[in-house]
Amino acid sequence: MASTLLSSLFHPQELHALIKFKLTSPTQFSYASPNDIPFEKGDKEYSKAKTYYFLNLTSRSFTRVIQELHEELRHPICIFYLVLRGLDTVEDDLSIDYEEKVKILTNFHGYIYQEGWTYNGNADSEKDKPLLVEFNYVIEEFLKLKDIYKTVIANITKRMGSGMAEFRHPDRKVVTIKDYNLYTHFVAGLVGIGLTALFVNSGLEKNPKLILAAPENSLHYNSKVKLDSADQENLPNRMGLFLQKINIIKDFMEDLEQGRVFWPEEIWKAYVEEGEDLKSLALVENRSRALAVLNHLWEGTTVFKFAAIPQIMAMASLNLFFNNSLIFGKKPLKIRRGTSAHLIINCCEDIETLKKTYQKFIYELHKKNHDAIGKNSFDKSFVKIAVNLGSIQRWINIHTMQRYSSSGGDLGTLKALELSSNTQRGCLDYLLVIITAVAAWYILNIYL
Amino acid sequence: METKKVVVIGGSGLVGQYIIKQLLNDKSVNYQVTSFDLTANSLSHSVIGDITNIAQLTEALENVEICIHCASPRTGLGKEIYFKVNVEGTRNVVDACKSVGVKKLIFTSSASVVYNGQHLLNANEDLPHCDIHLDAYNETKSIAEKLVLEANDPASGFLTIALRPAGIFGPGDLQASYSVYKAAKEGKYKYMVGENKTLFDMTFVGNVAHAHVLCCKNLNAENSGQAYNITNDEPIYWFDFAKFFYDGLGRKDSLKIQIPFTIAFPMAAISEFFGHLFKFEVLFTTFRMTFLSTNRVYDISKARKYLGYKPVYSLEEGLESTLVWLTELRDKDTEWKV
Repeated sequence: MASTLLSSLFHPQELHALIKFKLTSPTQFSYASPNDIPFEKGDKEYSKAKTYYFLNLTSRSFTRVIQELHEELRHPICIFYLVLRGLDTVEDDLSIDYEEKVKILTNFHGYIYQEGWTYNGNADSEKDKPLLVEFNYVIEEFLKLKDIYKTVIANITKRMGSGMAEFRHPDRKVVTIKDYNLYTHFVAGLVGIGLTALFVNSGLEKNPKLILAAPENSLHYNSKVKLDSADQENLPNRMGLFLQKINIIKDFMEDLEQGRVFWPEEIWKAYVEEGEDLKSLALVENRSRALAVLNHLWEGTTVFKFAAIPQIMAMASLNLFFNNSLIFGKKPLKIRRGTSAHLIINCCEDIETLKKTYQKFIYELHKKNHDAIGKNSFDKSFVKIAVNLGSIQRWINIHTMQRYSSSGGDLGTLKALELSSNTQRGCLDYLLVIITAVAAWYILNIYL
Repeated sequence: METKKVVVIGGSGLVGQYIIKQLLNDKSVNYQVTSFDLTANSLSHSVIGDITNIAQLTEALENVEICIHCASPRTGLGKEIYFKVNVEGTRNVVDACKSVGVKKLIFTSSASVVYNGQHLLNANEDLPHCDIHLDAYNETKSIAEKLVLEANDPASGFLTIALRPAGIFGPGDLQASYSVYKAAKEGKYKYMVGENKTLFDMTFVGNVAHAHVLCCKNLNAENSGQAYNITNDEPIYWFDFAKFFYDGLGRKDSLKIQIPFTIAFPMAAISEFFGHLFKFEVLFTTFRMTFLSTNRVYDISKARKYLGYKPVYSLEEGLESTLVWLTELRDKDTEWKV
């Protein structure tokens, strides 16, 4: 905590947010160690409490978000998270041999229906091993969920497990952009799809677009209104992809050290010398090439309409990572905890503050993009990034416009609205201000 | 293969030349193309003629099935020339088409007919034409568009349509792209007005031409008589567009000095005042300030839906090819200072 506070020392708004964040932290269901659990083994409440202990153990960022959810959803999403975390713990562990790993990954959706199932095969160094050693508690709680939640969770687990198994095959690598999208779909897009289904089935989320985006099994699904199959899961999927790709960018060095490659070859190959592999990007002498790849990975970010916090965090990270050679350095690059506390508390309240925050980030990115052009002969991403920023700006503008025009007639224009441009044409009225006359002469001298 | 006779009025202009190239490259229809313009061009059979002369027009349109009218004077000229070419000329085109029985008239209008300095955030075609236009170019384009669309008469087999491209650019473009070149050449590339937060639809000329070629095939009684926005559907901040060219032309330190609109507007007004007083041409005008400070983004879903239009060149491709052209221009330019 001390170092966290220290790093935000020169950002008073972050300091304030950090303290507020700490003070308002919910204490219910928050168990830092097994000894904090106020129940005895065998108590009715014990297994539930145990799952929240595991949540605390395995995730820093999700614990808080999950705890603040509506109680109808809190438990199903906690269990959903732990089931996928279990799956991930098997996938990640390099000490488990290939056959066994594939067997577990592809059957995991069945294990969660087997009371008492546990797994001891992880290496002791695996941080989340305790979760699988006592996985019976998660299963016990999973089986108590409503049928519809169980179906959604098992369905996503099945799809994710088989996808992970596919990419674990020694010959299956992330080569093309299609692979990159498919892999991130398996490990993250499916989370978005599953969460959407849980939201919609809880009856708490009534946004018709989200209901349409939810997969089969939705109780509220209106079969008369159909989206194209391509669009059906598109929005939640793309949101997951966006978040995961930020992680993949962030973990470049860590993954490289573990011998894993998630940056698609199709992109980086064009930037490394012939015959070189991705490792060469980590070398100091290739920093310009590496930065060019980094900026190329910058993805089209259309519009994400839900789950503001992870999105804003991802935007903040993206802003930090852009053209930043520290990604290829030894120390992991992360946004300050103070920054995240500030963003969570002050920038995710409603769609308007969210838009303002997005606006701020795209403006900063736009300035960095201007600074980057021409500095690095390998980097050709200027226009692509400019167009993507433009599309976010356009969405923000349209959204603002639609809020202001209640009647349908004048949807194309908006006169009175104070837009991002902050133009003040009224200032013509102050024409006689003497200071500007001096400035005018200056300009006349430049331009004529 | 089907053979169709097409006349492109303004065939030697930027859009006209791209249209002719694309028509001649079309493998599905055998287009017999004639260009009608003040000057000949090497792409197709050319008739040298004046749009204000109805006799010349009528002769050129004899036995022709499709007339594409994309002739218009460049911006920044006097009021009379716009009225002469855009209004009288277009009226001549409509009359000549009708008198010789041309089947389809495709008119290049302008997205500016609905723009009078307000923010256009996603403007669609429902927006009315402006009552008072910002300049004579917009005003005469608006009158011409109405003339063309009112002449639409499916019952007697005469179909008309108006396409409204926004911010055309490309190799050979002497307006948007060339103005950036000029600023780069004359040392004005260091300045930026405002914070670059306004979006513009810049449309690659290849996409504009593509929309016209589509109309040769897809114009029918249902979608005729109407105007359609045509853009790249990739709006961009104006100074990003400029920055790309500045950098490509070797101006690495561009746009470093920012002038806020609060200062720029009065300055522009004052320089206009002195410009009028001492009779010199003012480049730094309030018109340009207004232009730079408002969003100009158009919705093209109507063209997508009813014409089957979608951009065939990305903005990036368009910018790259324009930069190649500007670079050649620079290399030949003896007045260019490094």
